[in-house]
Amino acid sequence: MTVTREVDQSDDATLIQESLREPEIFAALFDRHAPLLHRYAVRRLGPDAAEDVVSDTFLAAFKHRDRYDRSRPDARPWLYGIASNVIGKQKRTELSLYQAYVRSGVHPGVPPVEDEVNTLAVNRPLAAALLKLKRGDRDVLLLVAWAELTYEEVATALGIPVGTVRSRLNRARTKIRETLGEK
Amino acid sequence: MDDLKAMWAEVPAGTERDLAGARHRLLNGMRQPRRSRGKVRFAVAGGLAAALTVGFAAVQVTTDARPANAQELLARAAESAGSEPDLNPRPGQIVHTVGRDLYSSGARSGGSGGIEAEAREDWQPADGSREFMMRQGDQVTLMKLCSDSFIKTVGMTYADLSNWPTDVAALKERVRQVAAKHPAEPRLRETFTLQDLINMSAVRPSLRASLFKLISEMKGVSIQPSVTDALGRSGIGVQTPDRMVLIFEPETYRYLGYNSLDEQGRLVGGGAVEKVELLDRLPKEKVTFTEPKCIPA
Repeated sequence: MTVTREVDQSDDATLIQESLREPEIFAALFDRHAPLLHRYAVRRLGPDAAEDVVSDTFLAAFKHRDRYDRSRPDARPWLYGIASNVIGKQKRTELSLYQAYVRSGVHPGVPPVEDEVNTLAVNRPLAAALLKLKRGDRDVLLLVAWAELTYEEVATALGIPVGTVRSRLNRARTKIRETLGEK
Repeated sequence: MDDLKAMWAEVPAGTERDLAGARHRLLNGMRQPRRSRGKVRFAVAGGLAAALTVGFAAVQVTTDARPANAQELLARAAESAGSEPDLNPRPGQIVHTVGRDLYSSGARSGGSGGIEAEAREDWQPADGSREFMMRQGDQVTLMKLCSDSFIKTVGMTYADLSNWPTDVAALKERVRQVAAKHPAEPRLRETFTLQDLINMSAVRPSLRASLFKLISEMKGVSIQPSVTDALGRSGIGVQTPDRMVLIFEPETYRYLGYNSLDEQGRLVGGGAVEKVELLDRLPKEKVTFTEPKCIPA
């Protein structure tokens, strides 16, 4: 089925609501958010695993769309919350990616950059620092830094109080500062 | 933070080609028939051990619409619990539970106040008369309840629960009487008593159903559309005025566990159980510590 432009311009909550009646409308939500979710997953897991993350996230979202809180027009926190769970199941892949980057300076999903020496000088210690974070702290930090969610949106995404987001973020930043200071 | 934001920012957004497989799987997933809803289903459990195991719910209660408020959610949770069989452990049997606790690291070790999770396994004598065993992380502790312990004195061992009333008014009065003797500080007594009863009544779901009805009569209970239990399971919750959040499986309304919040609404603890079963004796485990004194609570 073709999703009409009229539906495509609706907010996420409306799309999800409409998709309960007409499931194919959910594809419009995929088209809207999958590209950036894929980018987020590539940064965390690399390109090989990213497509599965996107696939599993949207399949789970579709399955549970009747639970979506319709008062939230933007579905990104919901989708990134599901994605965080999916990514969390691939912790080893994520840690291996960071370890490989620390060792070789190569991230398989990142295109070559001009100022490679300076970029590596900044990114390598950061990758080493990400390795040392607890999973919950890393989720919060990267949802803010890479998915560009607000604290409130991260709280919604992970089902934790905003205060916990703040404290996890604070702990993650402190840990990163400590790790970078060791270099 | 700016450096982190810029880290690997060169990664482009997923292209149509990158996403083709995922989109295809989603469209295929949409074509799968949905499960029938609005029915009570009984799953057939095989074998005695399975029949005695609560936790992997035998009963599923589903309805079309999400509950609109805490009262509606608790009514569905009561219906779900009421559909499960009572195990009614006999004195001498062991109640074996497997789950996970959440605790504030500050509360235990002067840490940062972050939340940590720890697997927990209990083997408790149903009548509290013999030694019980607990595994937390890699530690296995052997303990014994004092003869004048709280749960024995007030009749709140697993075996005692079969004598508790399921009539809500009578239950409310019994909870009030028992809470008055709880060793916690006064403002927490009722919450702790209810929390203990809800968790222990895994062996008597009919009592758990009445406890949910009792809580639905409390002023100030509110629905929490999205909560996560100590085992990482997504759920729908009811928050009591004392900041206890009861968590239920969103489709079946089966009770999963609880979270405790502080005055700012921050998670400070919790617990969730994934398995409850009755055993005839303690298993042979390598005990790492034997508590020398009896446990008073």
